Amino acid sequence: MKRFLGFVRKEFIHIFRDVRTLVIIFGIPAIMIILFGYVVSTDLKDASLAFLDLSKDDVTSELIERTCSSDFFRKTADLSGYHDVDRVLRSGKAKVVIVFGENFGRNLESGKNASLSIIADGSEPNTAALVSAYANAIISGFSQLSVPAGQASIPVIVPEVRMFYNPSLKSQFMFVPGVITMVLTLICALMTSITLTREKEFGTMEVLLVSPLKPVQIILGKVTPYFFLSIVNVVTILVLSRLVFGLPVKGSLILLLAESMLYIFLSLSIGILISAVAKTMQQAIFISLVGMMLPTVLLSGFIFPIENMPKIYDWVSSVVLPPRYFIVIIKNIMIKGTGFAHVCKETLILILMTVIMMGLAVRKFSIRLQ
Amino acid sequence: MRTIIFLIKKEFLQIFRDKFIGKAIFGIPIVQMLILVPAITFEIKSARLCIIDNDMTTESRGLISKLEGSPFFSIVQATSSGKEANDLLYGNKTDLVLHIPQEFGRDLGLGKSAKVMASVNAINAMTAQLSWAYLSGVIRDYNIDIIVSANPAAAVMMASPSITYRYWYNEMLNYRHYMLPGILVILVMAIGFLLAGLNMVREMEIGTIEQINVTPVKKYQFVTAKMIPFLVIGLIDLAIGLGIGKLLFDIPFEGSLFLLFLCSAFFLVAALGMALFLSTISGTQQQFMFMAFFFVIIFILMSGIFTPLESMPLWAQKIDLLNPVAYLMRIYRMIMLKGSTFVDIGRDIFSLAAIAVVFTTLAINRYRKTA
Repeated sequence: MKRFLGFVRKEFIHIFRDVRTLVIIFGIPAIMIILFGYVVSTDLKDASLAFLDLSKDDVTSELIERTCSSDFFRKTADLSGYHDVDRVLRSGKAKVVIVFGENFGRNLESGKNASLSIIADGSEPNTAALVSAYANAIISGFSQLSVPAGQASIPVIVPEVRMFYNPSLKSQFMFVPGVITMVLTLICALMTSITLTREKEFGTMEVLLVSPLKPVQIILGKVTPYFFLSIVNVVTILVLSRLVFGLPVKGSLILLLAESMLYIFLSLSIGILISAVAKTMQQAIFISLVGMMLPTVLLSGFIFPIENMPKIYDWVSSVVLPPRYFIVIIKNIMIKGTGFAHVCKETLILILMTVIMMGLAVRKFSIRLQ
Repeated sequence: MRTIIFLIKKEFLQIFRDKFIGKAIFGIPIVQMLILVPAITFEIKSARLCIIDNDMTTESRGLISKLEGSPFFSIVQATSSGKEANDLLYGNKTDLVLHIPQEFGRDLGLGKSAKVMASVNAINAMTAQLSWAYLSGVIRDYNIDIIVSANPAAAVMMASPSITYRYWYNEMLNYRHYMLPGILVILVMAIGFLLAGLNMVREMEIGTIEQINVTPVKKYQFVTAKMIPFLVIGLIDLAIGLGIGKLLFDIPFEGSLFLLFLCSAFFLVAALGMALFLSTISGTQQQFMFMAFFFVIIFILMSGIFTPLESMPLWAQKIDLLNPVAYLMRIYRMIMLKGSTFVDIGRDIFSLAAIAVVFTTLAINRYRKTA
């Protein structure tokens, strides 16, 4: 045990000696929170908009003014004819063009067919859908407002809405669980796989193996410092998301930390497994960064809901993709504030995965010693 | 010139000597494109709705059948217990709960306005907003039905413009057409950036760079030779990726292939220049890797792959002027989907070229042949 502690101490010294790496390890979660907090958002703001007004009457000019006075749109061009539509959309000067047909105002007031088309740039499908929905809402709002006051006595249904768990509709509520998961998955796997392959690549692993330390002790000793670093990372993210987004942990903090530790264990054992397969640091980096980054982000439900994917992805990822369970766990504990009962299925799966990964990693590793 | 060619040969040998890396350079993009592209869709086709009907009148049933008729909502349960509905929301079994209170039908009959209450699971703000917009749309239609049936003359007064939608360049709003170029750019970027930089640092870390340093090889020759193999590999990866997109996913290709590869080459030089510059300021592969990770994450998140660039604050848009990925992301989507020409993207190409020149020069200057 004393030997082991000495070894762990040595590893800590190794890590703290390289200040630059240390700064970046702590900097990555911070910068991600800041990016998601202040920079990246799916909200529509200042979308560029152009009008083709073939009618040029009071109604259209009021509609144009109304549309532009919202925060969502910014008028960038007035078009003179249909040939201009392609030009502004193709060059990206406008994301959407609203075309008022001829005699728009007169037709609308006389109850005839007043035609209006919304032409959006479909090369960005998300923005296109949002833009046209917002434009539609503004225009329909106008047509209801123009109903004469005398009609107000007709009974109508007034819907009210409550946005649960996220009343101010911040997109960050979805991002924070994803950021925690991504940081833990990638940094843990990267760090452990690099530190172990580094010893192999430089031949210093032999020195360790001939020492009286057991292989398991070597692995554990290598991994222990990163375990603590990762916990610091989790705490950093939680504190920052509280300060930056005002996103508190609704459920039990202790439960959240315990689950995080479990997940860190899992990611560290994935790292050990990678280092058993990889011969050089380049290979290890390639597997853990290029190989794992995009699947972790895109398939785990971080940004794209798993329910929307083809069924087979749901099945396969439920076996091979631990991040998806962890994201559910964090969402439930942090945002919904549920207790252990609601995450116990996911926790059990993660424990099972950890045991399997650990077992594989230790076995793979000791075989290499023969 | 001959020196550079020999050096390039050496680099290729060095890269492909490692069998794993040699395969992974081409294998990872192919496999990831095949797996990731079909999976991603932002399209929200349906939402699960649970209805609490405490009213049970013709009016409430009218509203429910209107909702049942909407293709967007699938009704998971109709119940009269609020607790049961909240449990469904809590356990993520439904996305929305619509509560129709007891006085609903009576109020409508008395000519008063009747309230209904919707609760939406808003952890994913975007889906929540969209489902709510659909729900209020259905209710608005129902209102118009009520108004018109009460007072047929009102039909004229309620006249609203007939709105038609057109989505140019991507009529069906197919999300894959949008994401495939994005994923391709990121994969090529990550591979080139990491490998080029790691190769350089590795030579420093294990000391083989000294052997180059004592030869008369010039600094620019060495850096060029480090760059060209990855430029070639990057372009081949792109060609493979585009082939997969065209053959398997049937993405449109409107613009000029030559222009696309020209932009890609500028982009790769810019990215590789950055990577080599970073590698000259880091001492070990580990340091480089974490710096690269740090910048790659920033580049990707700020590239507009998932989110519109216009919604970023102005200062972030200024920073983005230095982000090669943002330029290429835009250029790819414009050339492939819209068929934009040189005139439309000229400014982006020049900016990319400027970044390429600046960082390559920096890398050459920063690389010291003396210890």
